[in-house]
Amino acid sequence: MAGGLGRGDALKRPAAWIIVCGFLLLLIPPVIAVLGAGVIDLGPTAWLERVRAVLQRPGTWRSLRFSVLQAAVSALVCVVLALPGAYYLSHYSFPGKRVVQSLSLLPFVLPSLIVILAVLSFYGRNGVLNQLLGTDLVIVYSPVGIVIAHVLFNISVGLRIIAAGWMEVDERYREVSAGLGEGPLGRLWRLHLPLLLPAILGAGGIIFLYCFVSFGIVLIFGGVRWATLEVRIYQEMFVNLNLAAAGALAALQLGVCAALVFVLQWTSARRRTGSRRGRRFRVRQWNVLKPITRVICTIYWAAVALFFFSPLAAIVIRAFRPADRWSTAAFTALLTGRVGDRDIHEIIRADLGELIRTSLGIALVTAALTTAVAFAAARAVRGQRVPLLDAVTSLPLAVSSVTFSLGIWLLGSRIAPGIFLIWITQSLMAFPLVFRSVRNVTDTFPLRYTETAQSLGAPLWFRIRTLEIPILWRGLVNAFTFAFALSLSDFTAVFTIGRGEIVTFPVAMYRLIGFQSFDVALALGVWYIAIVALVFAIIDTTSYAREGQGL
Amino acid sequence: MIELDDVRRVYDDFSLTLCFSVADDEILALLGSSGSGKTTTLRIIAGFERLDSGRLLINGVDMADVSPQQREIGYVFQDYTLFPHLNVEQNVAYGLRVAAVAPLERRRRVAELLEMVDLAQFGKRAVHTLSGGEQQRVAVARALARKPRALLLDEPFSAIDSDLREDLRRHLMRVQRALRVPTIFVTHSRTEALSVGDRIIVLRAGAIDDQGTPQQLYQRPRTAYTARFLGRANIIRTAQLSAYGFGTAGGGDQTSADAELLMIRPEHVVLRPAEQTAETAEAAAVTFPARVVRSTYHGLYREYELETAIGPLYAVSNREFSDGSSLVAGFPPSHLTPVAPDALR
Repeated sequence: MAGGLGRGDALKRPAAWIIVCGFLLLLIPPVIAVLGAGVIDLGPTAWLERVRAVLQRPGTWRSLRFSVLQAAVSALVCVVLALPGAYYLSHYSFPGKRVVQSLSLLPFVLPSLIVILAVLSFYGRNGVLNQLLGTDLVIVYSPVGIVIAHVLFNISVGLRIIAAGWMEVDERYREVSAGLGEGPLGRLWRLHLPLLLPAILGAGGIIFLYCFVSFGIVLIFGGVRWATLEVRIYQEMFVNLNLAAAGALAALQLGVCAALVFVLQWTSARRRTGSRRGRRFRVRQWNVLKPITRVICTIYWAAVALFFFSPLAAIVIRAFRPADRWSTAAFTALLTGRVGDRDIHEIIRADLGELIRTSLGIALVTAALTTAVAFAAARAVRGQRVPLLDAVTSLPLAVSSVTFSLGIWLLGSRIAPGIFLIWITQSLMAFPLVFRSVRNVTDTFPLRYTETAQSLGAPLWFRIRTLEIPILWRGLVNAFTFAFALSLSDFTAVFTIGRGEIVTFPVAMYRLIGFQSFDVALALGVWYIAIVALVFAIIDTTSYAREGQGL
Repeated sequence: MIELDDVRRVYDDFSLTLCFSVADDEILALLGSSGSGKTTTLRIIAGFERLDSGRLLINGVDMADVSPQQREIGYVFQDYTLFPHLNVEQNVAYGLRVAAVAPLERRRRVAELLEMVDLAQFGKRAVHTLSGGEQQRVAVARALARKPRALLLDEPFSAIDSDLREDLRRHLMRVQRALRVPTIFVTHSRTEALSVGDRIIVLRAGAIDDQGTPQQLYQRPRTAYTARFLGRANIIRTAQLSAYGFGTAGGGDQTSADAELLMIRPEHVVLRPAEQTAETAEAAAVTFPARVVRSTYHGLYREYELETAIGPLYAVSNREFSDGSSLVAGFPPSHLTPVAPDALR
């Protein structure tokens, strides 16, 4: 009856439209600036000629094929490897589960350069794997290396999304299926996989997108021979100075990604139609599991740890053992600024203090800006399902960060300082994940709390300050942390827009690698991991402390 | 005083039309089944729903352009909606903080309210540690903290164990009497409506079906719907009774005789064994043969489903008759009430 008519929706619809239009106004002009780059310089005829030329090049289509192939293989490997792990994470309580859950945040925290260093340290010619096996395998500078790095980077995305999907599956379905005589394999095939399909497609789709627009990893491990569209856009723009070609390639890439984003949105909308009412889910304790289950679970996590998480540990080891001897020289060099006759601070163009201040400063402002805007937007459309809004706010996932950063730089470099443009760029690129996270949280805020406070005379800002922020605090902190991590690990926007003037950790590491100072780059990577861990620990402790006070 | 003057609210598949008032010292029970518009009525008064037409006055002031936060109405939701991050004191003090009441005065007022709802020792407790009854009392104290112009309670006893409900009802009535604040409470329980309300409005499909004091509505309902809603009722066609002495001298007044339908409560049906026809006729002017189809034991009394010449009937008695036994049933004319037939909207 009346209570369930969704009467607020019609009133709030304009809010959704304002958000959609505002978002598109920020997102589209930079993309158009890149897509149409060169029209003004060359004139339409010459521009079209260049676009036609680049589209007729076999290399363009080879790059598209390779982009799709490497992303598809990476996504497939990630999903297949993550399936059992996601089941264990969602269904079992096992020793070290908290560590695994924390590590599943890795892709949002680590710059791709650290992943590159990790892969080189573990799978490289002088890496830990070759030393363990006593071999001389060269696998990293090839599509295999690209896939390894992508899987290392993204397997945790698969673990998170599919584990969440497993938790949506009602425990009673299994019991009903068993009661009807279905065996475990038949149940997996006929019951669980169909129910999990949206989560699997969602995880696969997002990983595909990340890998499709991946830049640093492909640039380092693929070189010119195994170039993706993203790498080619960069090459055309900055090496060949062919803006028309860069725009045509960016349009091609955007078309593929946008199509995938809309498909993902459609599958996730279908997923949300299921009812959660009365859903039952049980996590089994480790000590009640069968011994064989415990053995298989242990072997699985040991293998994942060895092949995917230990490369990160290898960074730390290699940083302290630069020439097969334990040493802190690389760390000292970061502080003193000198290693041998090299001036590290000159290479980086900043000292360690400046580096930390700049990195944290940008990340804090970006995270605060993104979270605040996402919160305001999520409040405005609270409780509504607006598919168009969800699709539009997911669009940055479809736009490569190189394309978008270039667009922002082309449009804004003459009118706004670089740091401002970086905040805007990073906020927009982080918005899909942060908005989704904040929206999930704000949708749980009961309307009755608002109405109770209204009946007690509380105006809007008082309600936000005394009710919404305290009650949603954990969720907002999580969203802030997401945005903070994405900003801290961002290389492309800072590198493209900062033009060398603004130096954050990933940019400094890039410069050190460029100057062959691998050891110092690794030491800087260790610093980065330590600072991120410290900041996350502070955020985590603070929000748990507030929770302990009933907040 | 709350006045709803021809208030209308229209949705796609439902419309609500209301016209009633509540005096300052009155507790009004809004009774109705799910979907009848009870909660929507409260939400309109609180300002969470707009009016399509009509006027809502509180203490003579038109509320048309007054926002919910300016209406000064205490609203207690069905699940109490105590703010989970605040303790009992902080919850009660919330409205006082909004009004920027000085801390000392705030503390004094909170202590007074907690004393009034018998929770003086509970001030520092986290709200999730309270029982349902305690939470309800905190919610009432919070709603009363700003001395509201009206108190609205949405199903206030529905989440409470039945043992506690009686205590809480008495408690609420005591507090309301002390503060003399017009109070409307929504319920789908006729027991609550009858025991707490000074007056009851029965809502049906968005309109007032009947209203009056609990005694009036129970004994002399205007409609067959209200008669059934307030308890077991026998609804009989008047024409069927004429063959059994109804309408003749001593067998019912003219108003009843003119009505199409009559209602009698089961406790007013006189039952005697078949051989006591004469005694039955003394007690009830309208008598007819009946047979026990089924009986249900209720402790103090038994409820009988009867098959009679005028159709199936319910009766209660503290006498015991076995299933299938033949009886004489009778209606004292003073308990036969004319009722309007169900006209489904």
